[in-house]
Amino acid sequence: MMSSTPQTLTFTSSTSFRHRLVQATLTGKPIRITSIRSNSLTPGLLPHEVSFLRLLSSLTNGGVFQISETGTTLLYKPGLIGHTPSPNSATSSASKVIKHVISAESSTRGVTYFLEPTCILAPFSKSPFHVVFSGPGCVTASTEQDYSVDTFRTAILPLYSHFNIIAKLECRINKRSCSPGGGGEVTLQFGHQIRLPPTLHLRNPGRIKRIRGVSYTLGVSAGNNQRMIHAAREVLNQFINDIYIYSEVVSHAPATEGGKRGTPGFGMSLVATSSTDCIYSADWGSSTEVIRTPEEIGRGCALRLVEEIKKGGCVQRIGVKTVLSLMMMGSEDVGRIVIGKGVVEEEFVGHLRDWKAFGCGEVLVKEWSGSEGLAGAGMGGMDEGKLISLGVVGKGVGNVGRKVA
Amino acid sequence: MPKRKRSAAESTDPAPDQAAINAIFRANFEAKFGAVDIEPVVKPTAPPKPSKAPKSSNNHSSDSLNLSDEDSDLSDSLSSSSSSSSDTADAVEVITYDFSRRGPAPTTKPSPRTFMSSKPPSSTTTSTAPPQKLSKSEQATETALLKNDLALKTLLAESHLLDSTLTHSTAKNRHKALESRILSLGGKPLKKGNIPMHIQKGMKAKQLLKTQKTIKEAKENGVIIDKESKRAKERRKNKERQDRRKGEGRDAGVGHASIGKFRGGELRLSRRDVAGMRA
Repeated sequence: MMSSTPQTLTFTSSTSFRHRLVQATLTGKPIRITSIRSNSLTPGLLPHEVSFLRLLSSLTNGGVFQISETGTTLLYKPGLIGHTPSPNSATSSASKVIKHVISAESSTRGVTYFLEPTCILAPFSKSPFHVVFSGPGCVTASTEQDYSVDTFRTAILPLYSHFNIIAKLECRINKRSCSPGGGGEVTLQFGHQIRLPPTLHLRNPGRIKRIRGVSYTLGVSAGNNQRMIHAAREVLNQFINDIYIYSEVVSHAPATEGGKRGTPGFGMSLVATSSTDCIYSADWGSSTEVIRTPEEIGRGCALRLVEEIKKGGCVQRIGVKTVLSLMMMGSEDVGRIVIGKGVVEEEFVGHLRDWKAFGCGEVLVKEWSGSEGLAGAGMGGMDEGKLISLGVVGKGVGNVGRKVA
Repeated sequence: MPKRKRSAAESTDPAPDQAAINAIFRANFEAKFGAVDIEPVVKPTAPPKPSKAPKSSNNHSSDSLNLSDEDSDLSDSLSSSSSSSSDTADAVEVITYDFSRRGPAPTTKPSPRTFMSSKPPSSTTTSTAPPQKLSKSEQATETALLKNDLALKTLLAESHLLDSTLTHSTAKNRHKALESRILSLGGKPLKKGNIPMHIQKGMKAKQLLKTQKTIKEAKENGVIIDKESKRAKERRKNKERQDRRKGEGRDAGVGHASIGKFRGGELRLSRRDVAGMRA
């Protein structure tokens, strides 16, 4: 019995739920997660987690999900990555589109909660991904826990270009929305499937060469955009002159189920690109609980961006898991990335430990003392002692579903 | 090549606190790369005035507040005088670069298509800053430098052909050099060596066999490989047809004439064929 089926890995608690499921799917190993919020007042899986399981089942073929009655235990046997349209759906072109409707209960999380893991799976899929996220729980603006879709498109999707995944990537915001309430719509197309991601060496963070951004208003005065941009520029103009912040105005928030107007709001997403194409981003938006003026949002967003740049390294906090996952799946060679010490957080270390549990490589952490013999070295010794180098040995699992041509 | 400009303000008038800054830089540099025993030349900006020295000595006792300032002035003049004495022997020119200088602000607004489309923004797009205007003399030197660079590059690339041991075959080497230049410019190699015809034919046949084999295997394994392009298919079909014609001898003239059409015992030449023969 042991030899026929791979051994089930056991995890506890609800931490890094998404990434554990993604890791299981990528490596093809079944997992059991126990005691999910067993001591909480709302035990078991939360609505957005269940929604993610639904998404995962539509993105893969032949996966098995078993949730216990209380919802505190989950058994997941992954299938093959790739969507096959159900045979009874009529036209082939329409059935290739995966429609994921997010319920209103899970509108506390932004839609990037679903977008990020979908994109990690997508390069290893058998067929291209075309997913449409919609429903009353689809929030495109930034929330307290998630970044906005603008940041996802401008700061996370470009990370895939480090792995030569460039073609046919598209992330379109059809309808903007704010939390709570949602009603937004996002289309994600990921048409670049690969056999094995190449080994990555990212060691020169470079210097910031341009800053771009998007400020959006939804159902509030368009003047708020100008106020946000002005406040952000007050902070950033002293550092660099190539700044451009676009403004997006939506006059009405999308209607919710009852015909009522959705939540109005505004926010800003900033992206700084370095001379070596390393990306730092920041995100902030209005909230229904705390009153924030547009000036506060603009200034706060700019300061967050500056803070992110100060942490240094080649990959920022929100992108590091994506990069690490792709490196782990890469060819059996040592890839290296340099990241700032501030990027290493508890969650990130947990992520690396999870990879180890899944039988993928360990990570060699070294102090990075400047750039050895690299031309145009970053901050000219200013960031000494702030950076570490991660050496990652890929497992060479790659894309199982893709045939070798 | 990035143009580095000497800061006008720094080189002409080193302020007294500039010396202190320079000392810090020097200490930093020496800590990193080891001690340097070359005295930097500070350009004698203002000739040391003879009237200044007695004045400062007078002030020493009375004005203690001004002491530090005068001191640095004194050391400045000292160093400049010492350097001017050694100026003729070995002049070390110190060039200071101004890194704080930034380019002009981008004049044109970046197009929203590059950033606000639904695609991830590409890394190659840059806001284009207008190239800096160069003066006539600078332009001349710039072109001369570029020319020299090019000459050096070709020399380096072809230096192995100029090896003294190989001088006996100069014409061959010249051709090789020419070919390497053509190749570097993106041209096709002159010829692929002298391969006998029967071997060439064998190579062609083997190539064809290989492609057919891969296609067959892919078909058997259900792997979809890239389709033959329409043009390539047409060309292949055309060739096959011609080969068949040649083989059967149908319509081909006596001794497989490569021109005209042989029909009904006569070789018919069209107007074009005749024109072609004349040319």
